[in-house]
Amino acid sequence: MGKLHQMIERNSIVLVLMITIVASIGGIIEIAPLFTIQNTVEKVEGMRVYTPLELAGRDIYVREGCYACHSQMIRKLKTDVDRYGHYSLAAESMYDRPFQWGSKRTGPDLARIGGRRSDEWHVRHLKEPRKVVKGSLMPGYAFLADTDIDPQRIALSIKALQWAGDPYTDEMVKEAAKDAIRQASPDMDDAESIKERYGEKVQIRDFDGNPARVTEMDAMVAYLQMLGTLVDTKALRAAVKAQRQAAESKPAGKAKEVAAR
Amino acid sequence: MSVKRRDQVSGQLTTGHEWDGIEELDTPIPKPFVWGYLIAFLVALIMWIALPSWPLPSSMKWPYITSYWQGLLGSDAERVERRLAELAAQQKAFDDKINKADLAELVNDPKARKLLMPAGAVLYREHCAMCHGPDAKGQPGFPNLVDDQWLWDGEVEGIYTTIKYGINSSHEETQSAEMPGFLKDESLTKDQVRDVVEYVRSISGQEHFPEAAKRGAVVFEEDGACSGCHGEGGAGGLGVGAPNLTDKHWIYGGDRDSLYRSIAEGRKGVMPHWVDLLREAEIRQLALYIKWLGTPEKQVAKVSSVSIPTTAK
Amino acid sequence: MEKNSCRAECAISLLPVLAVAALGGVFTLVGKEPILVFHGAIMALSGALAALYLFRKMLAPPAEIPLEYNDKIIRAAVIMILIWGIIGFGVGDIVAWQLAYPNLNFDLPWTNFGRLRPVHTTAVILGFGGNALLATSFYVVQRTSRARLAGQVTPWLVFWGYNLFVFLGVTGYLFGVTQSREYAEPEWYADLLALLVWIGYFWIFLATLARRAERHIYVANWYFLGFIIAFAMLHIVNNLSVPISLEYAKSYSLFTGVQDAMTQWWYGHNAVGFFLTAAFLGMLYYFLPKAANRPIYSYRLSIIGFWGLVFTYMWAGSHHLHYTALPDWVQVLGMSMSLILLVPSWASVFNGFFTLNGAWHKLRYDPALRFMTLAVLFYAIATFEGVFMALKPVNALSHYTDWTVGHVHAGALGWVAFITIGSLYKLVPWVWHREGTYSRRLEAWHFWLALSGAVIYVGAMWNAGITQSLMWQTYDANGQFVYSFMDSVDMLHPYYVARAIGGLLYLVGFMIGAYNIWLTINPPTPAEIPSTPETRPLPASGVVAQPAAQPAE
Ligand code: HEC
Ligand code: HEC
Ligand code: HEC
Ligand code: HEM
Ligand code: HEM
Ligand SMILES: [Ca+2]
Ligand SMILES: [Ca+2]
Ligand SMILES: [Cu+2]
Repeated sequence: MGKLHQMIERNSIVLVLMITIVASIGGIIEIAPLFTIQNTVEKVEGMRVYTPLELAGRDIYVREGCYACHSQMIRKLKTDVDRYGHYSLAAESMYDRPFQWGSKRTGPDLARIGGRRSDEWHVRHLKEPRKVVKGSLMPGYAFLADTDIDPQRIALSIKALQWAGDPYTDEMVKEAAKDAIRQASPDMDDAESIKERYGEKVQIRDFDGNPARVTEMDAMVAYLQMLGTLVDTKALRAAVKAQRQAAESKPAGKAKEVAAR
Repeated sequence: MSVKRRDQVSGQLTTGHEWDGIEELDTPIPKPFVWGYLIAFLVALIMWIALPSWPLPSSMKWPYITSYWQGLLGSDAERVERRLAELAAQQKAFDDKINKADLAELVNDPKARKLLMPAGAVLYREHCAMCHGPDAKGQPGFPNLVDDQWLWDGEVEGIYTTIKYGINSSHEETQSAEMPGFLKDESLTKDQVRDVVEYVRSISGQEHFPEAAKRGAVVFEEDGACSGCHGEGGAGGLGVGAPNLTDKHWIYGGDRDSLYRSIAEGRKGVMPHWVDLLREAEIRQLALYIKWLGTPEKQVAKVSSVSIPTTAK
Repeated sequence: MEKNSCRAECAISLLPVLAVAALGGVFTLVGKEPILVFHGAIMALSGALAALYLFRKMLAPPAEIPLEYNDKIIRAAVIMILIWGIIGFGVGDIVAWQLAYPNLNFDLPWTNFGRLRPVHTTAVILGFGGNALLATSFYVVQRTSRARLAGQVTPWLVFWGYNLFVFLGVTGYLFGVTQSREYAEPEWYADLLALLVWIGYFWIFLATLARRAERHIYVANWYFLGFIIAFAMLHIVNNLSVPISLEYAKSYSLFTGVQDAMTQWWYGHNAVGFFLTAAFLGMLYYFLPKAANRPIYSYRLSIIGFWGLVFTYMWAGSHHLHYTALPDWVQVLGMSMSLILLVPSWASVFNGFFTLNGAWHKLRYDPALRFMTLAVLFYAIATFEGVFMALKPVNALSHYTDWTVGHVHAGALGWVAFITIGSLYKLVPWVWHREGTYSRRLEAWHFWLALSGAVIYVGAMWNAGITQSLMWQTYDANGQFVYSFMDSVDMLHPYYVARAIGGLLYLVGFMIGAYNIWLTINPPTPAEIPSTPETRPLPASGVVAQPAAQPAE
């Protein structure tokens, strides 16, 4: 050991090369196969890209650092599943750039918060958390309700995401700025046209209780209300069960085949 | 330059190098380290064999590495599914007891009450308290659940249905009720709304302007604008989700501003549905809990977060 | 005497400097967000100033390179350590009070917890820690190579560029500019700046090593080099992203979901492993033996420790993602490699402690050495605890709770900051040519305040975290929860208050330290030791002057 190492430590270039090689191995073996092993991200029904308004909400979620207190990852543990619902699937964050799984639960997990609260509750809670939940540690975000969204920026975002590989169609890109407004303006004539692009499940309504404006609060609540609602986990569980049963009956079948031969 | 020296304190030789006065001893590697590495590696090896670990090349075509060692014990997802199934089986006994029992009977069973209240309280605090308040007495916009005034059916089965499907929720079977905005849809003028506000204040026994209230009464009763939902004299009880306006309990408030807003702009409170989010037994326990909480003969259990007794083992 | 002009170095440096200025100019012109315009203006201005400086250097007649170590750059970095330290610890304590009394968020955009928390982590890790590493690595590489720092202008560009990067990051968060990638939150343009800076840093380090007058490269430099190389790889891969335009600061990661998670924690964990651990071990390997005046306990242990660390750390990142949607096989690799990681980690612990053999008595009167010794102890605790937490069943308890925060700060307050402070108390008198610090009593005050602050902080968070996780997992006999989530939140208050008080003690201690250092630099009664050949350890015979005469490699 001594002799060999004396060589390394006398030559800075060798040292640099050695470090580079030794330090690269772990990352390559752990990250590269995540792109090639097929079932890393399961195929599930219902996943779709974010609508422009939801994406705007997500950007605000990132901007405000909500992930510092909230996880969006229900672990494969009984306690997590009992409290927050079906464990999170890799597919459910397949359009998340960056991911928002978080590492701290100062507040509860939000992976499946969609539909569990009313819009009105969200708005009030975001404005003054301690007025609604005694003992909450959450900061107030009343300013969201005073700030309009920037449709032009959202359109640029959607375009960038399409470039990065998310399955936004050209029509989605073209309509992005308007779709952002449409989703929070049910009274607009062509509001429903979003559904043609993003599917029937898209929630179209004024989220912040202020129909006159499309604010960051609209975007944030639209985002929160769709979290965890895309994949039907009940159907999924049934499918998994069926698959397992099929798999369990198979080996026996195979054995028979072999025996027959 | 390379002069080995024996260190006085440790008796070890130095390596003979020196940097800015720093020397190194040539102490052999302490045995614990050799052993440490060995043991750690062996334990790791056991983990690798028992659990999914190394990625494997499994195809001769690009991208080659398409699978991984599955491990003798299988994956977490499978283990969790299995464990959940196991526990669900255990839980089934308990759940069945609640699911099969008649709610209307259970609600009058003091033993059930004693047994189920604590867990009900936890469920309530986890899923409901943020809207209906820690003491279930509601807060502006969210109704009081212990005041014996019900928008919908207040019997335990009715409460159960409300929790299950919600009010104005996104579930198909939701109960729906909306307070129209009379100014917004231009069926009343501002003055009329103000008059009706006074009338509502009069029937709820608050200070009011009698003149205006009298005019409001006409709108309320005779034009049928309000009584159709809120009942004759605003006494509610029609089971259509419209509250009694003659008592002191308000969802949104009995002051002039709140009343004006309720009537001018309308209200459509949303109670989420819990049918896919909670277990059947949990929904039943919640219905029982709400009912018990509001049942006056027993003292109302204090729903604070401290010292909730466990259903002891 | 060597005469040197700055033609080549200045000309090459001009390229990145102008690039930064140009990018800043574009932002200033087309930016649609005030913060981007502000950042653009700062970048343009700094770029222009730097270019001016380079032009002047280029046109100046060849200057004499002083026959001395370049300590000016170190002095500058020391000042920045103090500034970022006070900002970082101060904001840390503010966010700690916010969690105890949430009204302190003031419900304004730029004062809320979510935006301030990354200000804290960036200011302490990249600001305080980064400048500490610049200062000590430049100090150590010169002394242990017996060579003057390479480059006439590059060290200054690196220093200012690096601090500009941290400044852009921290001010960005306040106005909502963040990538939300933990410990790499600055947006893409700041990331690019950091990359340029890093290339310069790497070059300085290598070029200084290349002109060394020692045959062997000292262990401390292995660690610094490992840190510089690894961090470059991590930084580049983790920050790959698509900007949405030049008008807005926003960008989107090139990775999504589960791959993004793994990439971020490959980065995040190794930011800990190489930034907060390897590089600070470099510091340890120089300042501890210097302060104790003892030889390193075992050269062979150094070798095992170093290569074990460089290899194994890179595998352990997935322990931040246990039980998540990340495939099991990666989690298991992360868990097992974390276990193995204990051995090389503790190699340094042993080397640290046993180096003190024969010098333990010095702890009694030397607070700086006490800081370093305690740093090794906290390092031992944090790494042992980390390995424990990396085991999946333990992580099932600790993850998402304040236990993690306790672990972080055992490492951060106890190891990273202690070793830095201990080293500073040695380094400052050396680079300012003083006999010692202004006051050992103040050093001792600092030590006891910092120690009690750290112990209170870590103790409170351990208790909070374990209570929290137990409350989340307690079932009654019927398989139903005994506590709601809010019950666990209500329980935290006293611990959060205690933590904030601990943090305050730590901050006050550090301010005393900064005052002490300030008075060491600017003594009330000037008593500078004249710069004689003895105080100026570079050999007067001029090894540096003829680097070619002594081939280093
Ligand atoms: C300082 C920590 C903190 C930050 C930052 C924070 N929250 Fe919270 N959040 C909490 C706590 C604690 C609770 C639980 C108490 C409550 O409901 O208010 C909570 C609850 C919530 C809930 C209700 C979840 C439920 O199950 O009841 C939502 C939704 C939420 N937060 C969204 C957000 C969003 C969106 C942001 C960022 C804009 C955010 N939070 C930032 C601490 C935080
Ligand atoms: C998002 C807030 C929210 C949450 C969470 C919530 N509720 Fe409600 N709940 C409401 C609102 C709003 C109403 C009244 C609807 C209306 O105004 O028409 C309501 C009504 C009810 C009613 C009917 C009251 C009546 O007078 O008929 C019951 C019973 C009830 N909730 C129980 C629960 C229980 C039990 C839970 C927990 C599982 C719960 N609620 C969770 C908002 C909520
Ligand atoms: C279509 C049925 C309907 C009609 C007609 C109607 N209401 Fe209502 N009203 C409701 C419902 C349903 C609610 C409860 C809304 C909620 O909780 O979200 C309500 C709520 C209210 C409230 C708020 C009560 C509280 O507790 O805060 C007031 C006040 C009120 N109505 C007054 C009137 C008056 C005055 C009129 C006539 C001008 C009227 N309503 C007509 C259905 C109706
Ligand atoms: C006065 C001293 C300090 C105080 C009061 C303090 C306080 C805090 C607080 C309150 C948090 C947020 C915890 C949460 O989200 O619940 C935090 C996070 C953090 N701090 Fe500090 N801190 C201090 C010093 C340091 C130092 C010196 C470092 C590093 C060198 C550091 C590194 C971190 C890191 C990495 C995190 C993020 C932890 C995580 O993501 O789990 N802190 N600190
Ligand atoms: C062998 C050494 C170590 C191992 C195996 C280790 C392991 C771990 C583990 C398992 C976590 C918890 C992840 C989670 O559940 O979210 C963690 C978090 C952390 N550790 Fe360590 N640790 C080690 C040493 C250190 C040291 C010396 C520091 C120095 C400061 C440190 C800093 C951190 C930080 C900052 C986090 C928080 C990350 C976050 O969530 O933001 N660790 N570590
Ligand atoms: Ca709106
Ligand atoms: Ca970045
Ligand atoms: Cu880690």
